[in-house]
Amino acid sequence: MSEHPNAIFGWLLAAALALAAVIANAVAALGLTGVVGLAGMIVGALTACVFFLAELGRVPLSSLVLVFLALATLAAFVRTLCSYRRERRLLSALPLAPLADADLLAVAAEADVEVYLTPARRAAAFCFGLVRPRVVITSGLLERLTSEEQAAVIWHEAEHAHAREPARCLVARLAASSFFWIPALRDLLERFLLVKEIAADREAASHTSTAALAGALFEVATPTPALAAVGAGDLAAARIERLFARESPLPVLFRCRHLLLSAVGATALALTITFRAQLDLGEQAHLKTMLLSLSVHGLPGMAAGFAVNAAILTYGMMKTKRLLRARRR
Amino acid sequence: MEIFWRRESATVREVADQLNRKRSLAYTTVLTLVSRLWSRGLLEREPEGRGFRYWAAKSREDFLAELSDELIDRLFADFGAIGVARVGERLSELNERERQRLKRARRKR
Repeated sequence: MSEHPNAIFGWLLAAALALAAVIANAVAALGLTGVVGLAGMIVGALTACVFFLAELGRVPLSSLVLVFLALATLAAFVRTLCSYRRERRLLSALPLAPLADADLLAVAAEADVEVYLTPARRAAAFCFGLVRPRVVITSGLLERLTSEEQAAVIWHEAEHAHAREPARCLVARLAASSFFWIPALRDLLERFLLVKEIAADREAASHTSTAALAGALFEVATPTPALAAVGAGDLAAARIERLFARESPLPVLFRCRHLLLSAVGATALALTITFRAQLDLGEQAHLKTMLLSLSVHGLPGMAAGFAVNAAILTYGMMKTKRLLRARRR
Repeated sequence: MEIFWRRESATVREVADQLNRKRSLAYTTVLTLVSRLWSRGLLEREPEGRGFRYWAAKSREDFLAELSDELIDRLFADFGAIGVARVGERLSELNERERQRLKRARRKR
């Protein structure tokens, strides 16, 4: 597959849109009443209400899987959007000042990018802003770099700004995280993140020098073993390799385990659509099942249902409390 | 905090007077604000009369540096950055051999 960031981004987007279209189409075929009814049943089954469990037996599995996948996808999408909102709040609280150094201002003007300075001691530089991408460099990073290395950082980030990378990163992460049940998309996202960095590295090195960029990368590459994700080290090494040897091979795009899991996810979706069911969710049907369930299970069943409900509610409340406390901190 | 950075130290009454030049705030509101800043370690105090005299625990520069360090740490925690492209993407997992390679490639200063 191509190593061009646009191509990888295109593949990722196309896959996500195709999945979204398939799900939306299948969900639309179920109809609003069907989806709401099934969603209620899934939530009910999760909280182990006897009535809903009894009702589940009547509903074709394929429709349940479809609505479950649609709900999980929607939840993951909203979760990523919420994380993005939190990130925006952090960024808006970050103290920013325009660059003061005349040499750096000249580089920024030549690279045609807005650069801001933040007084952090950490070595970091990044580009943010969906509509108007801006570059932020920490004063800690500037202090550790020579003027040529500082220019390399600005050129690197300018490339991200010109390619509107923040917006593309958001879309790519939304696509990969929403369809988390197709982990191959995650591999595509990782590849996109890698090739966009390689492209920006190339641009920076062409305006300054490989040595300058190497110096800048050395300063930002603080080893934090606790954060190391599986395979992430390979990606970092591949990026450095490319800095010195333009034709060095990149790591394998898709991991076997991810391909296998993606195949399972795709098959589940395909099956739910092939065996689309006709639903009969009339008012009478609900009533009958509820009466049946009550008469079969009686009080012990209801008590068990209430106990599980209470356990889930307590867990949810504890989780919310912890989240609120973390946010306050 | 601006007030405490501009003048060396102040009592809650002095802060309230200064704030009231721009907008009207009750003494108790200012007292709550100041005590909250103190409990977060941003202010220090010693008893004076019936109340306390407060002063900034850190200079403006130190405060802003710590704030931006914390915000940046939170921004990048666990690859958390979503709509941000950064120069150090994935480089925190770089192995020592590659790090040394970067160091060697760097021009002698």
